[in-house]
Amino acid sequence: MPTGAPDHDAAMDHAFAAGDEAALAEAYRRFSPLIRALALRRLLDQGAADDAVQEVFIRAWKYRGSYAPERSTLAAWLVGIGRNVAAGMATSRVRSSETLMESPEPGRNPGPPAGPDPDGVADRVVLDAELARLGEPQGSILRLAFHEDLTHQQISETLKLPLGTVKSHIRRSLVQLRQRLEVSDAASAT
Amino acid sequence: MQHLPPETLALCALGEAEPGDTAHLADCAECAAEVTALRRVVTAGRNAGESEGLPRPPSSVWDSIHARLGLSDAVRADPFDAVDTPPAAVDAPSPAQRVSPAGSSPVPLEDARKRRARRRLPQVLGAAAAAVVLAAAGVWGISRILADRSEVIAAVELAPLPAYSDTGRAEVDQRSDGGRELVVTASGSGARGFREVWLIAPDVQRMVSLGTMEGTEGRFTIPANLDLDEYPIVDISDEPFDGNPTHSGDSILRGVLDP
Repeated sequence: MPTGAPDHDAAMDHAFAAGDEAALAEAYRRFSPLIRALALRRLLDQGAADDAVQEVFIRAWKYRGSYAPERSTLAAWLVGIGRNVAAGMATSRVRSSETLMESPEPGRNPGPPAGPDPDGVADRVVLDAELARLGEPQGSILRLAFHEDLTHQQISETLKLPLGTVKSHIRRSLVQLRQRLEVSDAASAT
Repeated sequence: MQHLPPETLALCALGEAEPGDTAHLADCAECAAEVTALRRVVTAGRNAGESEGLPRPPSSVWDSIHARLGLSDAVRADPFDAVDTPPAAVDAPSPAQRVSPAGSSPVPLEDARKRRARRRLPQVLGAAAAAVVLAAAGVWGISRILADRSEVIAAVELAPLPAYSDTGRAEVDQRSDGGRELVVTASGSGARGFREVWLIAPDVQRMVSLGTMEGTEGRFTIPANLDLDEYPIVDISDEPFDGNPTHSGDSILRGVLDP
């Protein structure tokens, strides 16, 4: 195969589940900026976003026994925990605000850092990780559909696969990837 | 109303809707919702945005994590700074990535960090590019890919039995390890109880239950010594929660695999 990326990612995910601290450090380096960006948009406070990152990785490590690499990538699982932690912190901060005027809830956004939309980036990062795990020919089919914008007929010709096979792989892969993205909405380590 | 087949919905999400499909989607909230949900995947897949520009947390964050979890000294340094001590087992770079040999002239930390951060996404994008190159190179690459991956060896559209309007499809995948899987996709559930997937002999007396099905897709391992010629009928039944493990006699979808 032309790249070691899928194996590499899968190795990190499994090592994390197995309690390898090096995998925790690797996951932190790869995903903490994203988790911080997601939290920052929700909390609108740099310090709080850093606290959220800390909480996410502490929680993820403590509850790594509930992470199943065969069900989702580490990226999706961590992003899911990140969203939960940020949501929980936002709620408790609203409750503890002395006056409504101080409410830090977004709505009237005082201007988070300019840059890519963190939710869009999160979907993209999770999807990249999952695409790498799809196996073949599913991975090639979807990359041609996504990155090259080929129609299913063109993919069928390019990969010399029957049309029905291509259609059915597209369907199954999209459904599977959608479920994986939904893990990143809902994953909880509590 | 007859819903669009699952595969058509997927193509619609990719922007390959035929005029007839578009008309149906305008009228059918259920199919439109399914396309919208799948489109999230397509949007993410086509989104060129990258996570490179996002700032890292300050080193104090890792210090706190390290202290509170009581991690070992081996991972004491902030992972963003630990450029020269990659955790070997996990972080062994592939040969293509090993741009500069260890011990080459020192690079300013900022640069090293940037290079490192940037390495990640291209790794994945590189896979995509490689796939395209392989495709262009033609049969060589692809036949290699196919040679050691699962392959569809039989497939059949599942037709609804009277009283049902579900649609579905069943495929037999031959995995590279020699195992076989039955992959069943079926539109929303008209079942009153739960759905169970069966392989049935032509006499409709002998049958093997492969398991229960949730959602729109299920994967079931086919027992290694089961002869599909002997049990060619794929059947999804509606089973009541009555504690009786035999087939209810109430089938939703059925199809016969090619001999």
